[in-house]
Amino acid sequence: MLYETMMVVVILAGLVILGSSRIRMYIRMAALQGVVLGFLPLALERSLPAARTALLMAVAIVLKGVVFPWLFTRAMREMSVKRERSPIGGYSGAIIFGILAFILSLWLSNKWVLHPSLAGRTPEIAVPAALFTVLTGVYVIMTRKKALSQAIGYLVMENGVWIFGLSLAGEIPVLVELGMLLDVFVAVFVMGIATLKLQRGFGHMDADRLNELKG
Amino acid sequence: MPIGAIVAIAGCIAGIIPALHVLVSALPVKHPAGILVDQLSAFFLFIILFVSALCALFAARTEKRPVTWFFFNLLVASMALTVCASDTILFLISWETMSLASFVLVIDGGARKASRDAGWIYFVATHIGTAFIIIMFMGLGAFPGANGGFATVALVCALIGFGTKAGMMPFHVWLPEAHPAAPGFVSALMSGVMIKTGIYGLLRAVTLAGGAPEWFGWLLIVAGLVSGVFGVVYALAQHDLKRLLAYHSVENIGIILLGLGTGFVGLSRGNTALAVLGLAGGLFHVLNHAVFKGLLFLGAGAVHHATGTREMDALGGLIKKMPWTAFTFLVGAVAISGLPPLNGFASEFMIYFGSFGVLRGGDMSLAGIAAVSVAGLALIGGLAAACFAKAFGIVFLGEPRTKQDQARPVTEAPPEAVLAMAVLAASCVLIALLAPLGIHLLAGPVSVVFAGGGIDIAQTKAELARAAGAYTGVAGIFALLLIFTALAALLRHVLLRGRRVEHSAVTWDCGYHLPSPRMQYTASSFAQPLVSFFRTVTGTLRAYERPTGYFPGLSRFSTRTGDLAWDKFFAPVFSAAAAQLGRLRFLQQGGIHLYVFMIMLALVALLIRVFW
Repeated sequence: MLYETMMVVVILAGLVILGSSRIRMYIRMAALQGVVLGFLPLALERSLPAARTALLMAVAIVLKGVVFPWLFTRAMREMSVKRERSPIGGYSGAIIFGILAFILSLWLSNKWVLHPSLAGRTPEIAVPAALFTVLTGVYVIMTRKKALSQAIGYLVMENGVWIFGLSLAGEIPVLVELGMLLDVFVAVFVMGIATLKLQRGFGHMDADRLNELKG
Repeated sequence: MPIGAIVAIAGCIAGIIPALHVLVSALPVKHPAGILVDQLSAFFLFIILFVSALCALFAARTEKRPVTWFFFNLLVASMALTVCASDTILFLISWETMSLASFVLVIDGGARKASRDAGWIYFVATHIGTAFIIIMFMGLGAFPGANGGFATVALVCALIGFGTKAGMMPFHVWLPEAHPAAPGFVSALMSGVMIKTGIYGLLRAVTLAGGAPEWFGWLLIVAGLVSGVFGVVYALAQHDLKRLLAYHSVENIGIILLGLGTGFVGLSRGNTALAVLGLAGGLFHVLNHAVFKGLLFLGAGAVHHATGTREMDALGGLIKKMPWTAFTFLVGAVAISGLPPLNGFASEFMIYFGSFGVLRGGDMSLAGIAAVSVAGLALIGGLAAACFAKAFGIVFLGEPRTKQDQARPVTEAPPEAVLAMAVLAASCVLIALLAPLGIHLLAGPVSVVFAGGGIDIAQTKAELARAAGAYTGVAGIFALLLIFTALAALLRHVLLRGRRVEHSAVTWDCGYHLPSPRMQYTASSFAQPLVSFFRTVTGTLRAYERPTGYFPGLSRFSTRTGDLAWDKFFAPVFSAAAAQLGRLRFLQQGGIHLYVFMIMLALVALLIRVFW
């Protein structure tokens, strides 16, 4: 039951991101997803985690719950950007997309034939939740115009991959997981710097106005 | 001396010894990492390392940028790896490394637009070539030992792909752009050595495809004749010294292809003499061209470095200020014109000898080869001699046509550079002198190419010895003539010692009493009769404002020679491709949202397709 509750929280957080215009809300919801998902190994194993899993959990929770939100908040304050400005498709369109994406995820997961060794172990909701979270992230990247929102969209997408990886692969080497976290960390860091540079270079960070250099 | 130069020279010397060992001992070296150095590899390896070391020595004092040295060493290493690789993937990786390293050297820091444009042309050309090579490898890998239609496609792809690197017409368009743009020692390396990897690749492709059919030999002969004759005709029309040399590389690749072609035709017709002498002559010319073209490009680089211009009509009289450069350039010019007794003659003689031998053998169906290759070689040699009479005469003889000493005095190249050029010039003489003794070393590379062709190594050596005997006779007469001339000059010098001989006369000066250096023959006027004879193929444009009236004002004359392959083929094809592909430009909106949308659309479509 714990696992299903977590997934519901993650899906709802994704819907909030889709429907909201405040960047502070994006940051909070992405952090919420990150912290909840950090505890995912507990829900899967239903016992005290091994030392390396505990380490992984700790790193994930600290990164996604503390470091990233702090970085994003700081960037937001420095660039004095608080709200997303008229996203492509509007907010109601985003909610409709969310519902359609959820249906698509459920449909796909029905078709998905899991490996026999996973059949009893993996909760049924894992695949649709993971797909939905990835789609949410991609949609945010696609429609939101501030570069900061797009960086957060990338983080949400990574959360979806995280659900996938932990729930479907029985044993993931801790090194791979740590590498993934490092990858996200670097990506968010680079995006933070890039958005700052955008702000300074162009006087805005609207990704839809970046076609000035197009040939 | 910069560390890059030291490393390059030391590495080359360290590599030459094992390469020579493989060549002499005929024991291939193998390594499981995909390395196989047989005698063909060792032959090319020796050329690469020998000329590279001297190019590094040439630039040891003048070139100071570490980046240039890094890519120079990378280029040398990748060329060496290319000829040693027995694994296709390793070959392609080193081939691409070679192309990219030389691209960086061509753009020369990227500060000048001319260099960047030349680099761009080279970049596109070399990758079109690589595309054909990949098609060939994939085909030969998918259908090993396939005959008929497929082998045809693979061989033609090999000829286009490797021919592009080698500078075969009409795929030569990058040479006259890239060679002038690069620094002198880089163009010496690229023109002397790097384009030969194309010849190497072509030979390997033929062995990989299980031998060359007769039509492929004829194709090589035709390609060789086109490259040879048109290369030298275009060279005649050039005003830029390094551009002229670049077209001569096209010409010499033509001679090499002509040799290989006669060899392959001879092999499939069972004519041992023609087969061995054609291929051996072509391979020998690879070595000789590397030596004298390296020398000539180094000389041109020294001239450019000293005077700041490559425009022949702005030069003149450099023999007084740069005697060493002038003398070594003269040696290279004689060698490249195929005049006895230097090394260019030695290799061309082998092709001549093999082709003439056909007539004696009685197989009259091959008489066409004799006619085509002998007449073609003679025409190429004559035109090359004319062209180098022009180049040497205009650049080094006479009086300077413009003031050259304004920025800094024109001086001889630094001692390292002179040493490098002197070693190459001495090699031109030594190779020609030692050819009768060392010619049997070519039997190894020849037998690698002809493996399974029914010619054993003893036959090969016998044919080579026969050619060496004839060569000794012909070259000996010329050597005696030269010695006699030198003795006569010495005698004159001794007899006239201590006496002043003064003799002055005024040349006919068209009634103009104050001759100036500007009234000398120019490169264009020297070449004018030949250029206008070949105008239909070169398409030379003339702009001429005649002097008119009794007191004529300003008048001018200029010629410009484009390149037929570029103007009539590549430029229209590329602009048509750009126009057609431009229709797809609507896809590039510059909005990141749209791109992510397209990616996601594709991914979701694939996902649905999988689970439908």
